[in-house]
Amino acid sequence: MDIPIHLTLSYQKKIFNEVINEDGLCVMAPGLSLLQIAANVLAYFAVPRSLVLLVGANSNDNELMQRELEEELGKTLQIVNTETMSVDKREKAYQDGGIFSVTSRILVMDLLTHIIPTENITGLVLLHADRIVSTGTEAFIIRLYREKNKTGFIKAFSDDPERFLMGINALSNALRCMFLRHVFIYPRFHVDVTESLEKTPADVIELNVDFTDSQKSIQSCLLSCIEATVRELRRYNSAYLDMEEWNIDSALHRSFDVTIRRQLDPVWHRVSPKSKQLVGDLSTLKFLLNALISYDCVSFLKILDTIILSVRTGGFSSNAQPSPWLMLDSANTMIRIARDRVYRSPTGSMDEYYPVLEEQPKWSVLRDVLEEISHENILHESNDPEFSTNSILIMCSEERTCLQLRDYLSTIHYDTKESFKMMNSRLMDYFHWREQYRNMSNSISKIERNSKEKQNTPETSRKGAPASKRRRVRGGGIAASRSTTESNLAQDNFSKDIRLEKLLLSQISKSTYTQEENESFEVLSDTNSIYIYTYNYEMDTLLLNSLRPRFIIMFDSDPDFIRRIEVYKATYPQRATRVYFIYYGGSVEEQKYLYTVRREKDSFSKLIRERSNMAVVLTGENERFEGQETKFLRNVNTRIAGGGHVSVTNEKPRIVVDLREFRSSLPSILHGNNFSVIPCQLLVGDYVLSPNICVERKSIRDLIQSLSSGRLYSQCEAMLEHYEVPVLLIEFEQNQTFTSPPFSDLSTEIGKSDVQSKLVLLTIAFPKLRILWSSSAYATSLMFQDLKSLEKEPDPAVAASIGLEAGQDSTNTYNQAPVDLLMGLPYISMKNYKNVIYSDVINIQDACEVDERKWSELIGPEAGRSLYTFFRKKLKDYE
Amino acid sequence: MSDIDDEEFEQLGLTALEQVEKTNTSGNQAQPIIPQKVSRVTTHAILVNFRQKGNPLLPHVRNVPWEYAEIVPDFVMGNGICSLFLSLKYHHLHPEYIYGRISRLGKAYNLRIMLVLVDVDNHQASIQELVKTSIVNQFTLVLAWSSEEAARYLETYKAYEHVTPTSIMEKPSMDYLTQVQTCLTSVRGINKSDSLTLLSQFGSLKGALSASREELEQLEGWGPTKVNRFLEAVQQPFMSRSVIKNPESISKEI
Repeated sequence: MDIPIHLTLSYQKKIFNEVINEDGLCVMAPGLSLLQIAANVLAYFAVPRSLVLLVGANSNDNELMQRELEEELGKTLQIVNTETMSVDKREKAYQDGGIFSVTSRILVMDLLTHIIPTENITGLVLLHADRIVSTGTEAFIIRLYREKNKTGFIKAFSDDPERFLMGINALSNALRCMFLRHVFIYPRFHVDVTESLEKTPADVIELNVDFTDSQKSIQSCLLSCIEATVRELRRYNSAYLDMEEWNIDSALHRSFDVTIRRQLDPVWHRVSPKSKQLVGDLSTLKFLLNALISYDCVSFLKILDTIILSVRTGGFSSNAQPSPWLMLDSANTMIRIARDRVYRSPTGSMDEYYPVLEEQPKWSVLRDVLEEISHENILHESNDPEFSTNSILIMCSEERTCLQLRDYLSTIHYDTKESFKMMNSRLMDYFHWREQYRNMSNSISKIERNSKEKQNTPETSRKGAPASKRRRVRGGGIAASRSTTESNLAQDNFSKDIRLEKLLLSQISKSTYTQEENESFEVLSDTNSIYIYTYNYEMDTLLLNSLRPRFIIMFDSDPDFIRRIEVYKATYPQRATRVYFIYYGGSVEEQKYLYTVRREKDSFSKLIRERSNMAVVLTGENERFEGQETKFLRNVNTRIAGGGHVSVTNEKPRIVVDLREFRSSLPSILHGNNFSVIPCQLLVGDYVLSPNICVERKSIRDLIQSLSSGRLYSQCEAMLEHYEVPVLLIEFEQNQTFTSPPFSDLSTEIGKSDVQSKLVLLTIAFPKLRILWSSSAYATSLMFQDLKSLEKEPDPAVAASIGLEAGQDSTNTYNQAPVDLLMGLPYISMKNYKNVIYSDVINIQDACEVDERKWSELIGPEAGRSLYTFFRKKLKDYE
Repeated sequence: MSDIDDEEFEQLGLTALEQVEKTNTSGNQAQPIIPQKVSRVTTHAILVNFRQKGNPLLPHVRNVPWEYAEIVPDFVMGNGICSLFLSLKYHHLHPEYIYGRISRLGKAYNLRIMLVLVDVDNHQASIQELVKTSIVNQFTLVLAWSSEEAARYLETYKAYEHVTPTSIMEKPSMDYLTQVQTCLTSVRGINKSDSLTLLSQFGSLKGALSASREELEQLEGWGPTKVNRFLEAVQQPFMSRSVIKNPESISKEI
């Protein structure tokens, strides 16, 4: 048999052979062409009539795999998601065999409803194996597959070693989830990799750029804000947070706020709103640090403005306060400097402002580099496909940087103020935007005023005694006058603002005029083409291969991309390549880069150690699924009263589960506990245990949300209408502490918005509603077992048909994201949303265009009209 | 409901006997209890069973008045609302106690709350048991983690006895900006400041929802992940056709 292999480098072939010969998990350093190897593995096994599955691929992966398989290996990859293939088509396609990339959600359904012939699957390849968790969908898929198919292969790939080191025994746990025993580890410093890559090193020029003084000061201000926020967070949560490792270095790492979030997660519902705000602040501050590097000065100011505004809208809930970091001196300094970068008054007087529009220092460096290249390109010219083209590839980390550079390069002139034109237009945009901002800000202060008044009124109505009446009046008066002065102040600020704008705009128009006068020649001659792209993981390899650029400018740092260049260079040694690497020395960018590289190296060393120490669990295949004992116990149902009539069933107990629930871990755990899980689109309830018992599952977060949105009330209503025993399951997460969110304050009076108060209302409204409190999904599955033991099995056809109106099809599925957004709209309720979904309105964008008459038909005349105008309401009309 | 199984039924019988014989097992001052229907309809106070004398939650009932009364349940919070109180610590020592109380209470009230104080660490097995018991006997289980919290539940039941549940029935009325924020933040990964950015950039909600990828990518603070999520929410159809197997045919297979 002819085996097509499309791998050039020796380390790639080595990995390929290793993976082919033995089932295992392959962890590679990012950038070492993981997808190409995976594609070759898929192709190797895809002999006619075989069924090979690709699991865990995202749309990018799919695109690349498809290309690799089709162009280089002569196979086809069929992509299965909700849009591409209906259920009948899928069933037939699986029968015919081939390579399929199936979204996890669909694959679970297909395995559970036997659409896919599990016994005939040749094997599966799992990408992003680092994301696997024991209760997740991917683990569920592999378990379902192994249950019926003991011989098919499982090959897992990952390029994120860090994820296997989070938590205790993370690596061996992950392996257990995937039924694997072997780990292949290929870091960049692996001997084979080094050998392959370092034969033909690329030509690298590092350009160390300095921050401007104002950038430096903003950076140090931001860092001190971060420090202060962390300190504050530590003060409130010292019991939960392990902050041994915290230093400013780790604060720069991408997962810093995620780590904190994870540490707080078990107690998240008990964490005070203040701490939650602090965690949010950390993300904001980190984002600002990044923005300082990648955003131009006008955009940076704009984002600061937005943040300040959104902090103010946080004040809708009565006890919210502005983020503490905004109160710091350094925050003020930062805002001042950020503004000074854009426009400044030399004397400090109100009437003399001129635009400063500080350039990003990297821009001029980029211009110099391009100039250098253009000189060189005149010397070498070649058109041989084997060699590099004269194109220049500029890589940035964000799409907006690309746009920025495109703008910059198109307006570039040999002049001292070459970026002026672009920045001017940005500034104009900014002022235009300020107009909207002012409207919003006004309305917010209005709301603030209203809410203040509201806060005053209940107090007064309670204290009806005449003695306090006078005080009340005075108190209210003061509050009102204060808020009016506040808004007056704001008004004042804005009128200043408008004057300032006019002044600056006139200056801008003057300067652009002079610019036009001395038009000079452009840097970019037609002979060389410049391509600007963002880093996009595996897609970058494709980019390099198709462009064959001679010059690569890395405008932002990215360690993965450097490796991709190395691989590219090693694969095509004859293609001359020069890399310019531009970075801000002494900035967070440099630190972050070094930290990432170091951290990856450490992770690999740890992972290698972990592999050698790992306890390999060798359980027999049968034990893994079902002990003989449980089988027996299930068959003989001892709970039958009197014991005279023992019914023996071979059937597993059934539970009908709503499709949307497959995002949670409960279905997987139920299956693990020997339930037969039947996926259906349920309109009423999430789990149907028996013809009588229907369960609506709520996590703590959902509970809070759905109690206040009215959703839970309608859901309970619907359950009560169709089932005898409606059950509300309040489920805590596995590692969450088993305590409910605290009452806002137990020492004071009963709060109307407390979760518990609402829960009380719910139980009073539905005395027949039962509440099931569960400390984890595992506990839930045990409770379900208890509840089911005395009941009949549910019928999926009946369960799915409940709530369904004539002409509505039960094989259709809702898509969560758009339906959630729809439900978030005002005037859309649990009662009328189905009309919209089942109508010919396709999606949200379509809904925006629907006319008033149609809305009236769908959700009633009054709501219809209101919703129609709500969509079209202009922010500036809002007063 | 006929679904009390053997074991429990036996237990119930035993505990009922014990209850008759015992003088003081509950730890609280026990009074001889005569099953009777509550004739007094009180409107202003929580009625407390004498048996609950000394219960640490009582001092925390401050927002509504309470008084002792001869009643079958532990607390009566309103017309047709009553509650049995159980501390898990006590339950672990006397697992049969609660069944006796349940059988004594019967179905006398419309809403029967089983208020359970979780004051032990190894709660899982007992809660599992109580969940089942509460469903079989048609009780509504409510867990509290401290006496204060338990007291607050009792207070709230009394205070909200006649309150119409409007606050949980519909979306709270909001002003325009909050409505827009609520709507946009229902997309995963979009926070309040993102929603403001959207609105200020595109002017209206319609404008924001119809924005193109290019426009979104230029927004401050919008990376590719956020853009993708947002586009998925606005562009994906509400419903995909014939994705899963027909439940009818699943039923037939079974």
